[in-house]
Amino acid sequence: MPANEIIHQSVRLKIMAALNVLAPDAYMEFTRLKGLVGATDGNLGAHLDTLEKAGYIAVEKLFVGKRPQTRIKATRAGRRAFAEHVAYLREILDGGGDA
Amino acid sequence: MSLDPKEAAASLDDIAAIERRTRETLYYAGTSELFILWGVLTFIGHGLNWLKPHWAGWVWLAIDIGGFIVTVAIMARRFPFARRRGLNLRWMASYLAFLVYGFVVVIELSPMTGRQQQVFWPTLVMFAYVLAGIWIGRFFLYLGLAAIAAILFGFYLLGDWFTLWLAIVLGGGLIAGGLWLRRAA
Repeated sequence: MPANEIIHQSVRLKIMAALNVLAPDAYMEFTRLKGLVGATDGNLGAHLDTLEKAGYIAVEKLFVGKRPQTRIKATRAGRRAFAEHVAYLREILDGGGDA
Repeated sequence: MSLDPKEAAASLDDIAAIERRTRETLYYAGTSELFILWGVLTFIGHGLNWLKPHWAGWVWLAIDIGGFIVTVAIMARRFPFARRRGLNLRWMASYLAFLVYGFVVVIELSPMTGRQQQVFWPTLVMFAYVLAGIWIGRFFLYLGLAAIAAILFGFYLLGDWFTLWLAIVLGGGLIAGGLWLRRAA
């Protein structure tokens, strides 16, 4: 089983790890995710684009009162891909990986 | 693309760290709602006690039942990861254990005056905060100790104003703590 190149990148790995903690249909606000991951607005936005194109996350833009809000959740495919990637990492540590 | 064990271990460490930080943030955010809820309920309860002392029994029965139901709903919505691990159930069991202990003490020491019960129940709850603070974070510890000090101050020094003191200082303190946690989350 190969590494998932989309998820393995450091910032994207953190994004998926944070979103995976949430309940299946729960969203996380962009600003909270930014604080957790430790990325700039632009950097986080670029990585979210990559994950969204892969179908791993869903991004929703809405207004709360008059303020725009961006929120993100992991899709079912994203959670599965993340779980497979974590399993792959553990397999390497257990000595069964392809490294 | 293949990874060596060192890279794999580093990635798993990153994942564990971000999962822990995410849970802490969600706990803070969820707990802030609980603080605000119980702050408002405490303010209403002691406020009504002050205005209508003979309603106390029914007021606190309604507040405790209503507060417990809303607390369960908030915990189920805010701490889904805890639900998966059975932690919510343990929190609830701990809460009930304290409640049962409180009733046993009240029965054993009866007859307790209304004023004695007014100092006993909040200090019991704040003692639970102190315990939680030892495990979860210092914020809960400091809040619990400060609240116990404020309750005892009012009990010994404020005479007839004690009930109003509880409404404003204890209720207001919990609301302020909740707002602080919301900002920190």
